[in-house]
Amino acid sequence: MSITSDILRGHTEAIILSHLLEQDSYGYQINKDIMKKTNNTYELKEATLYSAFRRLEQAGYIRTYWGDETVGARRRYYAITDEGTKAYNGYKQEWQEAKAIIDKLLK
Amino acid sequence: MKEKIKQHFDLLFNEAPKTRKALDLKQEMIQNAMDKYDDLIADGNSERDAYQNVIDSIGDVHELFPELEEKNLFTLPEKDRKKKAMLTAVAVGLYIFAGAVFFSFGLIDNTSLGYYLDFSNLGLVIAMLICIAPTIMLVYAANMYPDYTKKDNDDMVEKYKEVRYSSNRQKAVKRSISSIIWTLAVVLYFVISFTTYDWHITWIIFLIALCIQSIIGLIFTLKDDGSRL
Repeated sequence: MSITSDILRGHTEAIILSHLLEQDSYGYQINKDIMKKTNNTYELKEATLYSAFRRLEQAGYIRTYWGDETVGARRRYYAITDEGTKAYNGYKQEWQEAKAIIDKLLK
Repeated sequence: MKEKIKQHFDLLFNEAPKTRKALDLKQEMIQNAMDKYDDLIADGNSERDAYQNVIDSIGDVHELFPELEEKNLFTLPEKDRKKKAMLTAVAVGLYIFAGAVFFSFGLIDNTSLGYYLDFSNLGLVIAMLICIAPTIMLVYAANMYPDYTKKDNDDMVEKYKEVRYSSNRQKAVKRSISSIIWTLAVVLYFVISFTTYDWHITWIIFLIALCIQSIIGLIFTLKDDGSRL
């Protein structure tokens, strides 16, 4: 499990970008979706999620805005930028190459 | 239980920098935790389990703290605080000195020079002249704002703060100038009045001072508009 979570942690930013590509979202929603997609086997720690947000924001890959909820607390939404989309595509390409190599090597 | 979650975050953020960013982040994380807690309860978990699950999924928030540092607009850095204390101390000293000068002039025999001269009036004028310096110092100290250094990521907030900072600085200068004008006006009023005894007309000095102040205010506004365009 520790290797799995190490590898996953290394791809936190790509995972977030992938999710934001589908739709704008907020912190908990992203985590909830990750859990759903992985059948409750993987969940990001809040702190990990937010340090990834910070890095992505500084890189200009995501932007944030305040939602206009009429009920309940106002949420900060995260959205992917054009550069973010570009970065994500490059990332995915690299991952596929790496995956192909590892698949060949670990037989 | 929800209160307990909040308390847990209070504890975690105890060592976080006291900044707007940190407060926002804490609020956001609490909101997420509450949503998660509600979902877990709705799924049939016990309050205890839900609480434990929420707390376990927070992770190490300390790694976030360094990024939350920012210069707080409302607390002065150490260097400026010392400068401010120094200015205030010197100013108070000068006020006392001015008072001493005034009283010692009052003690001088009015006929000591052989002819009559009202030394207490002269003392008042000199004391007031001395008072100009500490007044300016105090006004400046009261309007001192910390230097705002722009960070790498120049988003809207940074720009806004920079604009605010520069307008704060302008305000400090503006207030210093108007305190100079008014102190000078008072001093001139007494000096001219006591030397000419034209009390019926010398009050016009205050009108002139008002006029000068308006002109300076106008210059500042025009300059400000110019730099923004």
